[in-house]
Amino acid sequence: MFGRKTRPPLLASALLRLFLSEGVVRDSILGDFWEEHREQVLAGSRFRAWRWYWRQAIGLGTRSAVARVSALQQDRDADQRRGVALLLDDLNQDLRLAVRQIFARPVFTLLVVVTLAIAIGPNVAIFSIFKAVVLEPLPYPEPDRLVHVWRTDIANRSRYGLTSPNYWDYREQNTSFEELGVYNPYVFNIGDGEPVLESGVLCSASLLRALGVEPQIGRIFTDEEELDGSGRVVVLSHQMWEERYGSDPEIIGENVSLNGESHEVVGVMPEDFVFLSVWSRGSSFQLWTPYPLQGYPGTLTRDNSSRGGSWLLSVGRLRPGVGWRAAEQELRGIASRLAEQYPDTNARAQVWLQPFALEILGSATGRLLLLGSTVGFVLLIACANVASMLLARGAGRQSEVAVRLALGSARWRMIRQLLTENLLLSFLACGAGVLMAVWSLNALKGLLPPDLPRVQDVAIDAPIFAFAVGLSLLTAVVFGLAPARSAARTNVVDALKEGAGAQSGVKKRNATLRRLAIAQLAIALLMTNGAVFLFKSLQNVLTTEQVFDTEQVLTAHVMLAGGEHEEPATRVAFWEELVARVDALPDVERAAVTAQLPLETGTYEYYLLEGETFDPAGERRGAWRNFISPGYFEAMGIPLLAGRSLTEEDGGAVSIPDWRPEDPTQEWKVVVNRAMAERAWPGENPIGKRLYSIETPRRWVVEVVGLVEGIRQTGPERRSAPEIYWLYDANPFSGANLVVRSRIDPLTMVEAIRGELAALDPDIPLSNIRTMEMVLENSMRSRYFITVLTGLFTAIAVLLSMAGTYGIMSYNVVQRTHEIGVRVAMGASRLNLLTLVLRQTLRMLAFGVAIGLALIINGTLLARRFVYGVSPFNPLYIAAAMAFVVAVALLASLRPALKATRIDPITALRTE
Amino acid sequence: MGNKNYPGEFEQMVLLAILQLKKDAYAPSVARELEQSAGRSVSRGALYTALDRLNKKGMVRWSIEAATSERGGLPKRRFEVTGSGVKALKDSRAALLNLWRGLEEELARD
Repeated sequence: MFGRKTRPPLLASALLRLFLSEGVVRDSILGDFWEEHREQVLAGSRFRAWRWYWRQAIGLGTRSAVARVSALQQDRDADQRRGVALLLDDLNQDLRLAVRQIFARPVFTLLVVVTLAIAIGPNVAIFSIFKAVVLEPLPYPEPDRLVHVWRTDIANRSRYGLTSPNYWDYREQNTSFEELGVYNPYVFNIGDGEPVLESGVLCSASLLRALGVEPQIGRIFTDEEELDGSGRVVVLSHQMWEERYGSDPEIIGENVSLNGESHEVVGVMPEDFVFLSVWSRGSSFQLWTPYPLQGYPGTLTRDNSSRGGSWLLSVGRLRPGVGWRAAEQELRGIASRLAEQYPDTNARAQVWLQPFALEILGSATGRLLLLGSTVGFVLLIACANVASMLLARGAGRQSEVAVRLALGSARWRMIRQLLTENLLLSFLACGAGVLMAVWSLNALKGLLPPDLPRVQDVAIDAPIFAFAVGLSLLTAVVFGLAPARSAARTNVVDALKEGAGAQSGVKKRNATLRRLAIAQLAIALLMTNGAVFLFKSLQNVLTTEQVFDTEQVLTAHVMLAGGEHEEPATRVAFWEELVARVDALPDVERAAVTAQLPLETGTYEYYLLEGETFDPAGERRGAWRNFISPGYFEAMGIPLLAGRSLTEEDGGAVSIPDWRPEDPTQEWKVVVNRAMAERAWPGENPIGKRLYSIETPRRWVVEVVGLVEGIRQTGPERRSAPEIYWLYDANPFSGANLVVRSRIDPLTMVEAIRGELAALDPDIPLSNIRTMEMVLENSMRSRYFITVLTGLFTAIAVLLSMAGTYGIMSYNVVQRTHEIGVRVAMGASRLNLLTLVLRQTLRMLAFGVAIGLALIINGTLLARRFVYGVSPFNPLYIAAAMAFVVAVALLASLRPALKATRIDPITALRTE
Repeated sequence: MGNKNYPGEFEQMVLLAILQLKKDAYAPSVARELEQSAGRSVSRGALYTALDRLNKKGMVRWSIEAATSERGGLPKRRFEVTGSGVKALKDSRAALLNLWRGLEEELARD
């Protein structure tokens, strides 16, 4: 029944199988792992089980590999009874010989070490990121008991927050959760001194209890502080306590000003506490304060009329032993009771639980795995490269090996000697690779996309170092296998009799070399193909029309709070005044404010068309909603397609603090975007049409007066969705984005704008100052990250395989010197010789490309989600990648081929 | 050997866990026992290494049990503490008790 789902991860169990000694003990350990993995899957978390299996497999595998390598020395010993002293002496001898060998050929050694290091370095660096971001357990006690609770539609899985009254019902009626909390990220003006804006969190007391982290000093706030409305208390982050309050232990009980309100500090979180939020994964939150009972935003109300909207992010801690699926079942039971009780708002509301770790780390895992496999491929190519170098050199050492064998040296002893050399080379490369990783990590951190959590913890620490050592061991085995086998097969008589001539050993060796070259070319093709598609995708994203202007437009965040700004009407007046002042600055073309910037999502609202009645159980139409000042479209450069923009006259004195108009009969004027017009009134003129809120009695009625081109609300790669623009009078926001279009470099305007703001209220900071160009770039960081790194690693891979092909072809030409000499003597032309060599390259290429294509077809599945605006099977781009790899391989063989044409027959024939 | 070969702390805990589990001692249940009774989370690498070492020292032995479908048809290794294992535990306990003698009161202060 659970057959497929409970199977342990294939790759991890294969690794385990590889590392453990064959036999019944290995089988029983694999069985234990199987059983424990299965139990965890059945307990509800496949991700957790997967992670457990990998972690334990890597731990056990590494231990056992280390034990086996040291045992190798003993097992191969013909006389098991030889003492440890003798063994150590042997080892010492091997090591000294290996060191001598390595320093006898410094150029060769350098080549091998550099080749391996440029492959090991990126592997170590990427793994260090993967470890910090994905593998480390979340920084909360028993993180596996934490789950995210989403509200979703009954028909599809979508992520909405909870509504407050629903939250109370879930919280009070469930038996699965130890704690169920809610929160919202929020920004705060921190007063007292230089005004700054900090990210913080509005949350229920239960949320902090659910996370289970004790404050370093003081306490977290209580349910009473949250509920009786007196909750003017705050818990600070360690960083803020340190930087703003100088780690003052007396801070508890002091008051700090947040958004103009005095708050009592009750606690300071410990230094390693990180608040991970699903929609702002990269943010660092500096304070936690209870939801105020009154006022905007989002009171924790129990009022049934508030069951419609959804704004609360919810995280809960399950009781011990309760699986998240069981908890989901229970909450769904509560949800269906609520659906019967409040059909208007809850008929389509369903609950969906996700393990917290998956929610926070899910999207990072995919991207890092893509990069991980890329650097893995680079390492494979490097191994193949080094293997061929060692093989080619092995040919040169054939006589030495044969002499030693003839003198009675044991064959295993020779292999051990070679292995020791390989290990030494590998460890040298490991050192260089780790240095490279340390050195490149800072550059790499700069590239990391902002939504990657926990990047501050990325570091090369002891476990990473252990990983590097393990990787080098593995590398030494992989690249040493073929050369060691070849050496072990050395036929003493042949080798001594014929010197470096053509015999069966050489033939086999050449076949191995060719196979290694083919493997390199195949992997290089796979990677080039991936890079081509990623770069094409990036280009597609970059050239995607974003509608708004990226040049000459500046934006900054302004947050009004406290004092006179509590009154909605004064807020509108403040914005009007601010816009007017900035507008009057020289070089400003147009200024405006908006609740939401393009690309950075926003809020969503359902609506009804004229003549429609609300069916609670039916599909709903929704649109993004934005609140703007009259000049917004001009300032942002969004073209008006029909009708007119909003003007001050469309507003009026009426304000709707929490969406409850004094006079629901008043009609608001709105502007809609193209996607909205196409969805709601296909083929018709949207101007003059009306839209209604879904509730009865109606909360609002609007008339469309203008049509604008649609911007992309959720990211540069997402389609523009329906959107409705209201005048800001309809929802006098306290936090807004100032948008300023200037005639000069917009960043030079910052001081002037700051001056105007200070003239209105010196306590309000201007924060998050960016040009729209920067906003766009920020939203593309993740794609840059993937593309630039994949491109870089592909370049390394192509260079390595180019060097590999060159090396193999040169070696080949040297070996065939005699044959070529004969051919020249028989009258072969230069062209004949050139084609003779290049034909061999082409034969290898044919195999390499065929295997590469097979890999591409299989590998596309992983890459598909990263491709934008181009089919991952587009033959043109696959052909381009093929042409590139073919060209590179031919170029690499050109010099050896030309060298072949210059062989002097007399000298060549004398070499025998 | 003059020195008694005492098992290490972790090895002792593994031995005791096996004794606690009686007939039901195999690696996953030993790990669970250590996690529940000793509050210690155990990496499988450390556990199998310890079991292997104890086996080499002659303090535990194992027998193979038939495969079941819950384990993907793979065999199961059941562990047992040998006489010398029990003796090693007793010796080490006795040694510790000797060392503790008279110190309870002193260390209880504070």
